[in-house]
Amino acid sequence: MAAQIGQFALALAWVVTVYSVISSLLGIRLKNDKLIASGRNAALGTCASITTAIVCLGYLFAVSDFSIKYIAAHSNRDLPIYFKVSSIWGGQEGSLLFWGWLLTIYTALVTLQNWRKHSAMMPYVTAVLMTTSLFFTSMLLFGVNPFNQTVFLHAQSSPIPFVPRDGNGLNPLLQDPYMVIHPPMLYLGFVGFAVPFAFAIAAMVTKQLGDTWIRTTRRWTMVAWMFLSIGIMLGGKWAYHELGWGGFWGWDPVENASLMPWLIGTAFLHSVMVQEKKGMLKVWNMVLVIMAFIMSIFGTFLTRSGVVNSVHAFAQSPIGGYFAAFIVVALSASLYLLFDRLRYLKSETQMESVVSRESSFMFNNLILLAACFAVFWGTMFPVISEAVTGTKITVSAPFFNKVNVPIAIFLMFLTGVGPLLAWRKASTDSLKRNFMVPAILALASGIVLYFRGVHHFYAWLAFVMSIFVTITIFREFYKGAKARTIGTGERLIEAVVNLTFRNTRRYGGYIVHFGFVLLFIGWAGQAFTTDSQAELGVGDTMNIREYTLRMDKLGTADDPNYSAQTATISLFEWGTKVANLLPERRVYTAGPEPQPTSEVAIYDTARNLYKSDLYVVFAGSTPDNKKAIIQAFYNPLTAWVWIGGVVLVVGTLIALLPNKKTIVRRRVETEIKEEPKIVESKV
Amino acid sequence: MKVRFSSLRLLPLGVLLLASLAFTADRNERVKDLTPKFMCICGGCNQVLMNCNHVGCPSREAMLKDLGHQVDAGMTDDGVVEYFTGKYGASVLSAPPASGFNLTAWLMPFVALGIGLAVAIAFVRRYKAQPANGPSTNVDLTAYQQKVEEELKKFTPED
Repeated sequence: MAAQIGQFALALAWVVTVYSVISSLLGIRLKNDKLIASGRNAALGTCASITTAIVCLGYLFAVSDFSIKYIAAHSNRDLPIYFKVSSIWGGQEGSLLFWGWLLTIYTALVTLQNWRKHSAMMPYVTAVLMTTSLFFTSMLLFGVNPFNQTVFLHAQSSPIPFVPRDGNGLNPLLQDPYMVIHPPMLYLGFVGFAVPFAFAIAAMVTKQLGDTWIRTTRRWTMVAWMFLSIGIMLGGKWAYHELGWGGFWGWDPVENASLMPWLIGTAFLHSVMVQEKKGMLKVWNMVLVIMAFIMSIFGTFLTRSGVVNSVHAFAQSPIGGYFAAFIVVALSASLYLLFDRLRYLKSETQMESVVSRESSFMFNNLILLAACFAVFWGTMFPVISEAVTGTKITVSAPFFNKVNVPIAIFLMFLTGVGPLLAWRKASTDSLKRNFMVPAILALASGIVLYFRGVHHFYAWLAFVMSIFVTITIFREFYKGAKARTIGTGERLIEAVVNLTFRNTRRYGGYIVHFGFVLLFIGWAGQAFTTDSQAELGVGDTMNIREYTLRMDKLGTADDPNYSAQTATISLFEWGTKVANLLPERRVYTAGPEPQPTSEVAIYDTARNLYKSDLYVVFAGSTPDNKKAIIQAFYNPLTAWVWIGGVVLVVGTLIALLPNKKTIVRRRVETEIKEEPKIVESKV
Repeated sequence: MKVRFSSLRLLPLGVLLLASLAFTADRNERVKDLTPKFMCICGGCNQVLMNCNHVGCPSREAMLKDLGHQVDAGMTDDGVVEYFTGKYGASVLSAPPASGFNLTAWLMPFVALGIGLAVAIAFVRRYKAQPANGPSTNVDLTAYQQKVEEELKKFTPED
């Protein structure tokens, strides 16, 4: 029954979406407010319908209804309930339903929040978002329907409906708590870029290209960017915990797919400031908004179509063609509109100096886009090369590291430099005043680092840049807070807090930069990873740096969902026992073939500044099963990556808050507005 | 005296042992340095050889052994790369070789950056070259402009 309701809800969503698009566009053309309002209500109706569909799919997973092909392929009876729910996005059909659902939620929120504020633009915004929604709903209904019923046994004459006793189970690699939360965050990021895109199109169509659309767009971009950042971080954390190779970023095409819109979104969040402050880079910002959306669709396409595995997979993939067509149509239409509206997008002011805040933002954009292009080029190069030369080649981590590391270091340099430059034109005096102290301190730290053994060039440069940027950030906070303490008599800490909440965007931005610095430090630490491998029987030991691992016990453990070989290892640091580590080698039994995975054990040395991890993998057993093959990695500074991620998100949240003075002003305005009414009632 | 003689007899053995340990360490370092150049061909991990350690990988150990044998046989780094490419095909390399069409993989990101840089500089120059829009006047505005500059220095927000 739930399957039928889900199927009906999906079909209804498609019909209502079509109606919403037509009604919105017709309403605009006929200047009929009722039709426009009806289009808006239909958009809300689509949200309700898709919500119903996704609830039905979740229910079908919860009750293990294996008459549905998608459920049978991605779940099994013994799967814990939270993994059953997360199985919704465990495969292609569910992922696309989830994408479509989030899009309708965004549409509903945007509609409800902005309908009165941007009345002229909103019908177009609704039409664009609903057209995107129509693409996903169509694909779900006609291409990859998650409610397609019944697994079929193919008999000679005709297929026989068949309900398997148990499902194939969720991919063991996805049976991880981070996988419950990582895809929703990532999708919230991807889908979120549809909102600024819709506003950009609406602004171009209505020719309302002033400040209004850009202000609304900036906030929504920030929301999407934040979710995408969280999604990427959680993906890295998942890879670190689950894949067992000791790292968190492998430049996999799917990882790259999430990085590209993130880089473009980052570029936009910087260049939009130039438009707001100086009325410049209007065309460029339009391009960035369009590209961020296109790349988020491209990312989903890359993830789902398998195009990067082979040049031929493109044609074979059932949804690859749909995505390619959508990307071509969306890109062509938006670029046509952009060219048509170029005359309305002229800059209001001129660039006065190359050494200015606005030009630093421009170079920052250039570097971010170069990084994005390098990622795109590297990801697509196997396809391009195969098409040109006929030989399949691989582009993996060594390529991306070599190309992107110098770009990233230069970007870090600009992160430090940008905020120190004045708008319009920075004088030589101000450059000296602002740069002298951070540059000298960073160089001095660099010398100390060199003599402390940091000889890896890029890692050294990354640390020096990180120190430089950190000093500039803290100096900005100190200067602002000091001025406040003089002016208001506040204590320094109080002044820092007030300063931050009175200009959330600026100081939230600095916090984001600091998060980025911490991430960078954690990433640079990868240059000093060491590893060791040994076959350990009970009582055997192995050493890695100051740590000794002693195998205490080898055993087995059974779970309804898997069976496991377990190892109990005592960890000694400089000869003193500090922890018991319990790595496992699991074999998941659901599905046609057993699927082995390893569960790593991580000893986090969080109490020291270096925050290094000792990362232990149960890689396998010797043929006689008497010894375990243990791999140990010493990963310096890794925890800073996660700490940096948290700081980055906190900074974004602060930047999203309205300024304190604005809230007070709004409150005062409200009180003033309400006052006459009170007087009238008294009279 | 007898003990000293025995020790002396053992000396070459010790030297040999130390040399062999140093040789093994060097050899292992070389194998380790070479592994990032190659992908594991298992097809399940999309990882470079050393990083592919997923349970049940059918290829990693055999490839590492093969790599070790080539190093032991005294093959140069380029020779090992050639041997692996010949045996497993070009897709075994973790990065495109910097020759022929594949050279574009390495060049294009920096070419794009260069073009972007040129466009950005041209953009700044164009804007700087354009005279500011405004009514033409013969009045000497220097004093006013100075005043405006001073005021702007005081009030231009930093963010």
